[in-house]
Amino acid sequence: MHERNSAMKYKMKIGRLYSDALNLYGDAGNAVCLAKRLEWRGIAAEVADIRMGDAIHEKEFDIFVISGGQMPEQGFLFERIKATTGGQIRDIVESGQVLLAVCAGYQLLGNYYETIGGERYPGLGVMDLYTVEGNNRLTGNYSFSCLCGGHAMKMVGFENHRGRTFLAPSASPLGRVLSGHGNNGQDGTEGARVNNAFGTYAHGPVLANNCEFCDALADLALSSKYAGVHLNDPCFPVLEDTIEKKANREACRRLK
Amino acid sequence: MKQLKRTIAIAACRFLYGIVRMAGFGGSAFPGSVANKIDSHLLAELAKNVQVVLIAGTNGKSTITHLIDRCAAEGGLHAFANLSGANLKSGVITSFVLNSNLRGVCRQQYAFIECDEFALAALAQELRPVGILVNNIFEDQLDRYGDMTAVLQNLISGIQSAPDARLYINCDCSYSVAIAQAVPNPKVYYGCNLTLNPAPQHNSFFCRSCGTKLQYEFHVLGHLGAFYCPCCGKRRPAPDYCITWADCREDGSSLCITAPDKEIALQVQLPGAHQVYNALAAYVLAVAAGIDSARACKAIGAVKNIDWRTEKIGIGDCRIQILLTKNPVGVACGIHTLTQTSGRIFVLLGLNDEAPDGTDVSWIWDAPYEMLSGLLDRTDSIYVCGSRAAALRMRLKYAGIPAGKIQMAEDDRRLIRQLAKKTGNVYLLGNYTYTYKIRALLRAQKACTKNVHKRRARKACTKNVHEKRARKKFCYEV
Repeated sequence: MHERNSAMKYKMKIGRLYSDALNLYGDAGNAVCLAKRLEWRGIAAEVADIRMGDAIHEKEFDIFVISGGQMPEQGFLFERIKATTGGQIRDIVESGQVLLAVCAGYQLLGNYYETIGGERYPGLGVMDLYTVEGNNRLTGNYSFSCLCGGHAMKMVGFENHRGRTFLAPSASPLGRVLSGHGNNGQDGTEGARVNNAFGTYAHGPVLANNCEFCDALADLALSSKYAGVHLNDPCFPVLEDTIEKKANREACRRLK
Repeated sequence: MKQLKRTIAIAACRFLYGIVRMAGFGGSAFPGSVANKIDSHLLAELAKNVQVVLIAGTNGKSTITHLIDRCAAEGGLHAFANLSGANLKSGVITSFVLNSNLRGVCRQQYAFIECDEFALAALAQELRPVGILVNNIFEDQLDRYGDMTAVLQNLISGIQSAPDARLYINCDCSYSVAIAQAVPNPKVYYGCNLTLNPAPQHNSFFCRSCGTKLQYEFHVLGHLGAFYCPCCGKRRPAPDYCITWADCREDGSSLCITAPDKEIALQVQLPGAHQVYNALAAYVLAVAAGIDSARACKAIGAVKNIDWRTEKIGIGDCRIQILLTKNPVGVACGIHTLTQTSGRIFVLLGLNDEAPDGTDVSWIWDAPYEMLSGLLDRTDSIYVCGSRAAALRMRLKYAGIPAGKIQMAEDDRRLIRQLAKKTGNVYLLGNYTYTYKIRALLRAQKACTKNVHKRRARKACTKNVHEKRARKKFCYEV
């Protein structure tokens, strides 16, 4: 068994991928939430930015996050990373490292993004899905159910996207839409999951609004780095989440 | 027939405006929208002989409009402005109707019209402006606008429908400059050569022509600064009017403007370093409208409050400074203003998520609330309120603000009664509808406090009271 005071020997490193190109809609908060919730448990956490031109030393990191963003930056990213760091993102996903991609970051992981004018930006193809730009934006508070870490969770967030994402039959969605639009407003799916890579349209940020999901991601990363170690082990304190739960309830009251 | 329709539209608008006012509502959009239904060409007709200047940008529109309105009055210009802040087409119609006679002839020669980023295209077409000012473009209300590109496109198409309008552009804003460079209109650039707010900026910006990340010689605030593209060489244009020196304090600023032909010293009484930009913009517009430079400076220097956006209200021994902060850069400016204060302070943070605020509050995670930790040793309490108080409360937790410093205020009225009993300086950083609402409550409380004092004074003078008190067995020795 681990001693309570031994928690500090654990170290986690969070990489904010392409933080110079995709950085709108408050998703920077996802990395903050992960880091703080690890630190409060006595686990050292470090957040580092990995910018568009930077090399990715994927083995140095335990969790990756990609934020939402907008055109034209999103377009620049699509054009550039396929030839540069795209292969490493594939390695990250295939080796089972934890990756959370939101909105534009999520679209980037798919096969392609097609604009309303028919221009097609090839994506990284690590998730078997594609995105087509619609006439209007799908916007609003929304919620979806999702199964993660053995728990069924009700997730709440804010969606704001013009792209409609469609999953291939082989791909598995992250969850089912309870209210709002989700991936495309038609088939009731929201997000996608491949190994430990999670794609979602939820801003909010999603890990702030849903602290259980935040812990589930942290737990996946922790247990894969330190075999057999989990966040609910007795060596880690149980966090007081009254404030988070209150914020979650407040967000849920906004659902139509 | 046309004339009759117009007169009916104007009369209806005025009548409804009167009713709305009497009912105690501030809104001026509704009467204008009715008038527009009756006569859809009304606005273009009313503006026919008026020299219109449109004022756009994410932050500072209302402040600039108020300042230029004072300048126009001081300079003896026959001018009006939409000071109510109703900056969509319907509100602008009301504003024009109130300055016209029943036949549809506008009494004023100039109009300074604040306008929403998305309304500019429609307004420019009808108003045929002689000038358009773009103060800045920041991340704001993205649930409504979608993304920044949509905002830029709208502004560009608006300006294209007014090819003769002179553009007044903040040359430190790469977005605003991109707009200006997409159109052939004549341009006047204004900017600042100093760092006004050292808060770190969360996002970087890319050259709109070649897609390279922009570099900066220096930052002014947020993404504003002396940008340049290391690839294609595009850079911040040289400003025609430039702030070359500034001393910014919590209660106002002194600044020096270098104009093409001279240097001007200007005093601003509005709190916060970011206000020097707004003062500069108003000065540039004033000079362009032919107002004497000294008169413009005098008028700008005399303004202490901007409506409910930047206002100081005293209740008893409590002085409450309202600072409207509605997006990440606004919060950075607001908190920076707090760092310039001295002594013990109370901080009140309000967050609503109604339509005018933007229904998405994710942006609070892009705002540097971590800066508050520098103020904690002299902050008694941070009150968190508004319809999304819990979201903001959580944000503060993750910004490292200790729980003991934070108080959740569920009821605004009770909060204000609490504040009214305190002695000291309260700084209220709230977004749009929250600030609007709390200001009304503060005013009511102020009036109420005054009345209570008066009543108490009157009561103390009358024997009657003492008798009543004696009867109620309040042990008083008279």
